[in-house]
Amino acid sequence: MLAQRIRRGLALATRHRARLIFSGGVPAGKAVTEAGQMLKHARECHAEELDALRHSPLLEERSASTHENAVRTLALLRQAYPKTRDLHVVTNQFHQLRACATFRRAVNHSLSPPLRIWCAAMPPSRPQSRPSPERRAAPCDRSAAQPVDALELSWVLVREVLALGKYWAVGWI
Amino acid sequence: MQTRSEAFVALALLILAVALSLVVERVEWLLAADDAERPHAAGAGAVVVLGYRLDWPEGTPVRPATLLAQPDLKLRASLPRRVLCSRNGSVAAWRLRPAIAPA
Repeated sequence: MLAQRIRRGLALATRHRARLIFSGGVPAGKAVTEAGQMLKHARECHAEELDALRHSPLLEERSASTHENAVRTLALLRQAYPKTRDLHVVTNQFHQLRACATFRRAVNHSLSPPLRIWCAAMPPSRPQSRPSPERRAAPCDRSAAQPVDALELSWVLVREVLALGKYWAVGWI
Repeated sequence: MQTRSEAFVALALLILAVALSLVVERVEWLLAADDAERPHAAGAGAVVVLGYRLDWPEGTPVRPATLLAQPDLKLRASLPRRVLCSRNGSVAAWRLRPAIAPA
C-alpha cells in the first residue's frame, strides 16, 4: 500500500513540478522512520522520477498519527515553503476521508496564509483472501494496485472507522 | 465422513473470504474522498505522501494501541486545545533538512 502512495506522490510532484514531502515518524517496534523508508523505496524503485523532481524531497520524521502528520507537515511547509498555496494529500482510499478532513481542519485553525488541500485520487485496494507471497515480496511492483490481505484490510477499515469517531470527538476533523 | 465435513468447512471459508473481499471493497469506497487533481501554480504546489505503519518495511503488526496512542505531549502542551498551528514558532521546531543534497 505504501509503495502505491509513493508512486502516486512522485507522479503528482513530477507532473505539477511541486515540492514533495514524505511524512511519517517511527512505527511501533521499528528503528527507522516511515519518511526515511519512503525515500529509500523511492530511491531504489523510482530513481528516475526522483531525479526529475524540481526540488529535493523533504522528510517530516516526527509524526506518529494522522493528526501529527497534518500539524507537522503544515508547520514544515510554512517554514520551508511559505509561498505554498496548494497541497495534495496522497494516501489510500480508506484513509482519505480522515486524512483530508484533518489537514483541512488544521489549515482552518492555523494562522498561516490560506492553503488549499486536495485529496489525490487513488485506485482502490484489491483485497484477496490469499495474496501470493511473491507479489507481496516484490517491492518495486508497478502494477496499479497491489493485492492486499482481505483480513488485514478489513481490520484496517474497522480501525479507520473507530479513528474517525475519535478524531471527530476530539475536534481534529 | 471426515473428508466431507472438511470440504464443507473449506467451502464455507472460501465463501466467507469472497464475501469479505466484496464487503471490504465497498466500505473502502465509502471512506474515499477523491478530489480531482488540481494543477498547481508554478512554485506554489506541494505533495505530501503519508506514511503507512502496517506493512512497512517487513510487516509491522497492527496494534490496537496505535489507535489509542497519545500524540506528542510537547506538541500538545504547546498548543491550545483546538488550535493546531501557531505563528509564534512554538510548533516550528521540526527537523528540517533536505532529503537529498543539492547537486
